[in-house]
Amino acid sequence: MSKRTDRELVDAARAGESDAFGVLMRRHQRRIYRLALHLLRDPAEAEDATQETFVRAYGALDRFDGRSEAFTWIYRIAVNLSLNVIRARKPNRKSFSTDDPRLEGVLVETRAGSANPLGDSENRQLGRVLCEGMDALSDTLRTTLILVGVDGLSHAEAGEVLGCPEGTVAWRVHEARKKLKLFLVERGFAPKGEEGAA
Amino acid sequence: MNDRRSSSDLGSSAEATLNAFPFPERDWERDARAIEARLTDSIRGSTDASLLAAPLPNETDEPSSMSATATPLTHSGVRTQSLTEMARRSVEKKQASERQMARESLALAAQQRQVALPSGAAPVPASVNQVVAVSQARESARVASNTSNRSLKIALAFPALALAAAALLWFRRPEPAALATNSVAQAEPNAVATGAIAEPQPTPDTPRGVDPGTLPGEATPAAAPAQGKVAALPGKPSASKLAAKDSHAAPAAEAVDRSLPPDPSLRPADSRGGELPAKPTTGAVQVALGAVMGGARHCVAGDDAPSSAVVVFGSDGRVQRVTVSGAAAGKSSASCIEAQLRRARVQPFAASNFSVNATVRPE
Repeated sequence: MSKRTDRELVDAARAGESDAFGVLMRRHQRRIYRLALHLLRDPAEAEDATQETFVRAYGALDRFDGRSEAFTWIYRIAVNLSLNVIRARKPNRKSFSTDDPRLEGVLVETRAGSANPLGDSENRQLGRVLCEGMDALSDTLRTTLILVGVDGLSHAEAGEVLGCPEGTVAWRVHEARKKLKLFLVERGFAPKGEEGAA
Repeated sequence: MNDRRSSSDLGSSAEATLNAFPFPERDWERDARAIEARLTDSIRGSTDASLLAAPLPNETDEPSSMSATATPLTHSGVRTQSLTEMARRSVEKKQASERQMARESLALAAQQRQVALPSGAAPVPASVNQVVAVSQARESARVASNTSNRSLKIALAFPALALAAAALLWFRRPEPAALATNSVAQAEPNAVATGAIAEPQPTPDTPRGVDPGTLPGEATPAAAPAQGKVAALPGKPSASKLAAKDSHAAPAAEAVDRSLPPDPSLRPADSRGGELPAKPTTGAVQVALGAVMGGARHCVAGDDAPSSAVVVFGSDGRVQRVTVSGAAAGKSSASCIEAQLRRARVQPFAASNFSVNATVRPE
């Protein structure tokens, strides 16, 4: 049996096919979790947000009008839920780079093939500074950068998620990268070939 | 490679980390089953609509609508929009703007006719000095004798002013002075009727030729209808009201020119004399008309034959008079064309006026 598209799965779930939404959920849960993790920087909150995203999406299936892709529609719910969590946080709460869950992945990756300990150390440091730089961005720039730069969505897809034109997405990504680059350069991570210039 | 790209290029290591940001693996199946367990209790249609809305506010310095050229390259150097798509969007935006402009001009022309009908009188030829000397006294007499008519005009004036303000905001030209006079020119018939016009009224003592904004090309048409009502002389049909007003403005402009010394070297430094060219260059006229021709073409959209227009520029560089002939003559589209072509501007020149023929072809 050929693999069903997201839209077919949504239609089937709407029609009452109990397994269809489960297939859709398993297809996208990793990406949704990763998005929530980057936005929330807390594994427990990210897990809750992922669960909540699919529960809310299921509850709103009848309102999916098919003008966008199903996964961008689910992404939008995930972004909204994550932003709600961030807004509900106490204002003095900060994420600490020492136990940043995003870095856990970087550490595991570098440890697996550690033929170059110096390089690993540099990568870990780079990952840490990269995370700090992303945290310093505004919610708007950070979310757009995560969708495009980290999660690999096209500008059109990110535009569907965020409800803005592709050009706006492109501008935000450019701005976010520019600020991120400045942040990296200030901390001694100038791109290769620009060390002197920086 | 590209400045815009290099300014946001993070370097190969950072790019690699960003593009493939790893995250710890989990027991996804366990997570999925947990979600499925919650789905059974979930009620369809219970999700808050706010979760389906666009999530984020705009950045403070974010362009409201990105132009085609402003779209930056991605970090991989690939444009996310094709040039064809960007060009198409740009053209669509421009056409929409011109259509809106034409619609506003038609609406203004229709309102001008509505105002002209109850008055039953057309403007009267007058020189600038005559208008300036008597306009205030006559306006007072007219208001006292016809207050009910004034109320009607006040009611009509507000939409016209609102339209003019909307047009101002829409066009947002870089020349504030030109914009201001343009908006007043569009709103003047109704605004004069209420006495609410903000343009300074010239007095007989006002030095002529000092401020282009008070030159006869703009000031006289504003005062002429008021004077025309008092004089109550037989006039031309209301459909050609704009053109009629300008035919009165032309003698006024000539009167101003006659009052200045014939030799340009003897004219005051701040007058329209001095080192002005004798007449506008062909290129300047083409550019000026080309800038407004798009809007004029919208006025005749759907017509089979082209229309002609004689555009007369005054020495201050503004359009004094537009006479439309051909397919649009006598129709509401003629007023629309006039309103569009009146927006043309050239540099001031020494001659009293300068005429040019323009053909307005349907889109």
